[in-house]
Amino acid sequence: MKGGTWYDKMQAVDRRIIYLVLLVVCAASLFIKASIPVNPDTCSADLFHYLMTMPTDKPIIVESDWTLSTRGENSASMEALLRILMRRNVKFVLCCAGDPQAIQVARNTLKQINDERVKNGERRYTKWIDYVDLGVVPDMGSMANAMSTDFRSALKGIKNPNENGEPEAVLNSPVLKDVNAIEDMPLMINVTASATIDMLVQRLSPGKKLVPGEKMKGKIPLACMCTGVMGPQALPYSQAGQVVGLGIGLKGAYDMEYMMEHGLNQPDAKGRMVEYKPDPTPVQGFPGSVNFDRANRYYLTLHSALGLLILFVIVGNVGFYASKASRRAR
Amino acid sequence: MILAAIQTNFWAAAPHSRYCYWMMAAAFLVGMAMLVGCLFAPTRLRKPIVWTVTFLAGFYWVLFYFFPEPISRKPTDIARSGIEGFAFVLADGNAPAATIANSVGAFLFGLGIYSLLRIHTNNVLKKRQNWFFSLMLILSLICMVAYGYGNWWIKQHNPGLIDTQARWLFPNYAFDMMFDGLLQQMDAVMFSLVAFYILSAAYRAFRIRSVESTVLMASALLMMLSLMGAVDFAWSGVLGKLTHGDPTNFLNNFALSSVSNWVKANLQVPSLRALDFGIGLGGLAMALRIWLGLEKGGVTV
Repeated sequence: MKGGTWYDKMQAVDRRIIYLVLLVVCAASLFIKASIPVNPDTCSADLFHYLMTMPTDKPIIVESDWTLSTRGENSASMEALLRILMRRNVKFVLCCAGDPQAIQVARNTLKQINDERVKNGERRYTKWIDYVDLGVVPDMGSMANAMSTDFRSALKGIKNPNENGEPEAVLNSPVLKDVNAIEDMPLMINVTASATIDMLVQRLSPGKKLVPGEKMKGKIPLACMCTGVMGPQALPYSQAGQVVGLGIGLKGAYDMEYMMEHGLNQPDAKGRMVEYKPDPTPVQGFPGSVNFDRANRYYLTLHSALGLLILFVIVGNVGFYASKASRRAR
Repeated sequence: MILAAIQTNFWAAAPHSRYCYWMMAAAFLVGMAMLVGCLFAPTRLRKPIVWTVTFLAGFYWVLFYFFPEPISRKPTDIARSGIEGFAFVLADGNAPAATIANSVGAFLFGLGIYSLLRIHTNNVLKKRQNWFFSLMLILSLICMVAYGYGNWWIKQHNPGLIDTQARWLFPNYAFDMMFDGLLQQMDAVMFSLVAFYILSAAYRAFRIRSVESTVLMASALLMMLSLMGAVDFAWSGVLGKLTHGDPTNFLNNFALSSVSNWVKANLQVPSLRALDFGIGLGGLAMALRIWLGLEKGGVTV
C-alpha cells in the first residue's frame, strides 16, 4: 500500500501474503519433531482410564464416522484408539454410519496400524478372529434400536469371511460368539466428524456412569472421539456421565498419545505425572512402543496456526485503534 | 448353538428355507403391486397414501416406546396373554424395522446416483455450458464403481491379498489410486482451505468494537491458548513457582486449563444444553406435525 501510514498498512496486509505466511509456517512446523508436555483434559483422561481398565474378555463396538477431510483430528484419534485396543488384545466390531467413504478410511487405518505391528514384531490383528466388519449401516438410528432390543437378531444377516474365506454370519465369529446382548459389551466408541454421538446417546446410553460389573438392559457405556468443532456439542454428555470419556479434536488425540507414553498417576524421571483424581491407582501406559505419532506431528502445527491467528488478530486491532486515535487527534 | 440361527418368526424366516423363499416372493409381489398402484393412483389419492405410510411407520415406533416391554424374556417364552403377545410382536419387529430402514437408506444412494446421472447425461448430450465437467463426473462415477467392485471381488476371492501389495492386480491399484490417492486427498485439501479463509477473515473482521466483541475475543483467546499445550504447561510452571508448589494456593485457579474448563463447564455447556432443549422441543413438535399429517412439507407429493 503506497503512501499509507503504518497503521493503515497494518490493517491492509494482502491476503496472498497471509496465505503464504500460513502455508510456510504450517509446513515448516510439520518437519519439527517435538514432544510437547501437556495437562490432558479431564474428559480425555476419563477416556484413557476407561480404555485401559475395561475388561478385555468381551469385544467393544467401534463406530467410525470420519473421512480424510478431518484427517488431522480423527485419524490421529483412530490410530491411538486402535493401538490401545490391539495392545490390550481387545476384540472389536467395526462399523460406520452414513458416509460410505468412512468404512474404507477406517479399514485403511486398521491396515496401517496392523502393518506397523507386524513391522515391530507384534501379532497381526486378524479379521474374523480379532475383529469383525459390519460395513456401512445407512440408518444407524434404527440399527441402534434393534441392537438394544435384540443384539443377535439385529446382526443376524451380516456376514464376514471366516478363517477359510467362506462368508459366514459374524455372530458365529470368535469376536461375537459369546455376546448375547449389547449390555454384555463394555464399550461402544464413536470416532466421528459429525453429530452421530447424539443418536447413540439417545438410544444406547445408560444415562449415568455404571460401576464396574453393573449392566443395564439394552444399554452400553459410550465414548466419543470427535473433532474440535463437534467437541462443544458432545461436552454436555461428558458432564452428565452419558459418555464415559471424550477426546476432543487434535488436543484430545495428543492427550491420548501423551498418556499412552506417560500413563496415569505415574511420576516420570522429572517427577511430573498426569494425575487422575477419580482413581489414584497408577495406570501404566505403553512406554517403549510407538505412542507419539500423527497427533504429535500435527500438534506443533496447531500451535503455529493458532499463534499466527492470534498474532494477525492483534496486528489488525492495533492498526485499527492507532488509526482511530489518529483520526480523533486530527 | 447360536440362538439367532434357530429362532424364526413372521419377520425372520430360516435362511434358504422354502418358507423364506415364499415370503420373499410374496414381499416382491406386494411391493411391485404397491409401486404400480402408486404410479396409477389419482393425484388426489397420493397425499393420503404418503400420510398413511408415514403414520403407520411412526405408529410402530410410538407403540414400541410406550407399550410395556417384555421383562426378562427368554427365546423359548410363549406369550401368556394377548397384551404380552403384542409386546413380543413389537419387540420382534424391531430388527426387521432396522433392516427395512437400512434398505430404504441404501436405496437413497441409488436414487442419488440416478438423479446425478439423469442431470449430467442431459448436460453432456445437449452440450450445455461446462458439459465437460459433467462428462468428467460421469466417467469418475463409472470408474470408481467399476474398480471399487473389481477391488472388492478380487479381495473377497483372495483373502490374504489385502496384506500383500506385491500380489495386487490392476483393479486393486486403480481403486487405491482413485480412492486413497485422489478422492481422499482432494477431500482433505478442500477442508484445509478453510484455514486460509479463517485466518484472513479473522485478521480483517475480528475487531474489538463493542463489549460483546471484547467478551467474544477474550473467550476465544482463552480457548485457543488452552488448546496450545505448551503455553498451558509453561503457564502452569510459572504458577507452580509463584505458589511454591502448594496445591491449595488460590493462584492455582488461574491455570489456563482450569480457567478454560470453568468457562466450558459453567458457561458453554449450560448454554448448549439450553439450545439442545429448544432444538429437542422443536424437533418433537415438527415430528408430531409430520406424523399426524399436519405439516404440508411432510406429505407434499
